[in-house]
Amino acid sequence: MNHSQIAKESKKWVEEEIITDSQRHQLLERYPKRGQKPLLLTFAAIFIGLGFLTFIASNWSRMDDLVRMGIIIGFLIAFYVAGERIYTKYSNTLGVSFILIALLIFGSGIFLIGQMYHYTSYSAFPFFIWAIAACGLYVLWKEWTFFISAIGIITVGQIYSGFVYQQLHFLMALLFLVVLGVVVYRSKEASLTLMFGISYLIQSLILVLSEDLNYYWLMVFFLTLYLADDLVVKKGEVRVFKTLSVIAVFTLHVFGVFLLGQEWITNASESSFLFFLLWAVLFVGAVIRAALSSTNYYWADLILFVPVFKFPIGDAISLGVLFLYSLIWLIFGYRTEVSRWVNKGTATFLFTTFLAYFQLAWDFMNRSVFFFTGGILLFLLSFFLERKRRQVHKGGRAE
Amino acid sequence: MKKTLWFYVLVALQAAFLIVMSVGFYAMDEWGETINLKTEPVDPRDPFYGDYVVLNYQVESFPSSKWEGKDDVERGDKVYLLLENEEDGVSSLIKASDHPLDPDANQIVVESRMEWRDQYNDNYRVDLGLDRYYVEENTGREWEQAEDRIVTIVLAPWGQKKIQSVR
Repeated sequence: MNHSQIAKESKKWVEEEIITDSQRHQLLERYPKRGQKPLLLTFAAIFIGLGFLTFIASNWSRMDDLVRMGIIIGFLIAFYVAGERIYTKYSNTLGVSFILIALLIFGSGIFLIGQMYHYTSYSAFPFFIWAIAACGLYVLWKEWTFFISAIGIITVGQIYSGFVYQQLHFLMALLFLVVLGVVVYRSKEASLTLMFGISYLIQSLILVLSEDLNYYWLMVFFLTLYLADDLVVKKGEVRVFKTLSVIAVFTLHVFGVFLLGQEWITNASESSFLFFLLWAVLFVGAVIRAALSSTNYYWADLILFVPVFKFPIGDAISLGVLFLYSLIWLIFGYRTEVSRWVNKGTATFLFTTFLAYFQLAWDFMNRSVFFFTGGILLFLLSFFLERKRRQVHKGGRAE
Repeated sequence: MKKTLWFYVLVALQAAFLIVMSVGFYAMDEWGETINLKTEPVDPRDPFYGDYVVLNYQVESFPSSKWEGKDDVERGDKVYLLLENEEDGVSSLIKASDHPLDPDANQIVVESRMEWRDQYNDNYRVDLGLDRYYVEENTGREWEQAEDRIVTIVLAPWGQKKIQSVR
């Protein structure tokens, strides 16, 4: 029993006159407060660490390369060993933070040593090595901190790779999909799935942009995420991948509305056989999945995954897709009286209407008239939709 | 217990990776081949940026007659430079390509990255990745005087390279 537990319990004993107040104090003194010690120790460690850091930082340029190496390696090992000891003996959280610091030292060590010895890297390879270390730590300790670190390192590394080297680091993407993918598949934890999904979307965007692929390739990546949803979903929980991919593909169509009508997008019109093949396979998969689904409305999302190319009326088709999508959810929502679907349909319908209005009227309407009319239009629309929605909420029939 | 063991294996691997990065630098002196390259006069507007010299190697730009690769080579692609040692001890470019080249005796192949192709002047520019030479601080004046220099480069069999000296 620890101090705080005794303190709580003994209060009752005094009240019940089992012991006196002075006896209670005597008892309490036998159990010194343990919690304070690690806290003080932590502060001590942080201060000493900060002292070292500032000392090293101010003398770094004057140090010999080998001394710098010694410092980096020494700190790396010291923090790992301390972290492991603390984790097993005292506190998990403190141990994890020590190991996390060591992981950060490893990453910055790669870059510092690279700078010291004039390494030139032509890819995000340092990030790849760093990410392997983070993944290894997760596999060993099963602490979410390391999983999050791994996702963070990989995502930042890929963004860096995209900006600096105009490429996606494929080995890192493979590490992401295989190691972290398996973790997400096994854990089925919504927050982790969310992080994984966002990182996946960022990486597919980097791939398409850096490899000069046509924008419609994004559709294939989004559709893959959509189909992968069944692998990671826990019963009764939010469908993270599905929601993310639908949001992503919806956004893609919004961009389509604005960009597909532009003259300067020329390369977007050429279509590739490989794209059609992959897309068709995935789409058929999604249709089969929809047919097997217990809810009949699963296939409504699939409308969004129909790619729109650059035709003269490509922007109008994108707009049509968005309208169709929101209308279907509205109708389904009213028919089945599922308010979640009505909300989804309402929000997307209002947004699409605004988009259409913006696209059509912005160029030739007087600005103030544009906003006035738009406001009134949206107001009327939301009034009717809201009235309908309330009927559903009350459980009344929406006729 | 097993977990602790694996943990220390992982820690050792990380330390080893950092150490190998450093050892490679020193080992190059032992096993590497040295070549001398001429630099062009540095950009007179800004020869110094911080405490390093910017080096422009002559072999980094060449006319398209020396190019033996495909036409649509992209920025960042690997480019192999075939260099030959001349009588004055300085190496000069024989040809360049995006596929590996076979060196004869007295020749050596150096890897670089494509920078750009200047279609107007009909020449190529590549990057050896050795464009910065760090010098001691406040020695800028001395370096500014010299116009073109001979740089000695060490090439390790495992693909690493470094500047040994600048004259």
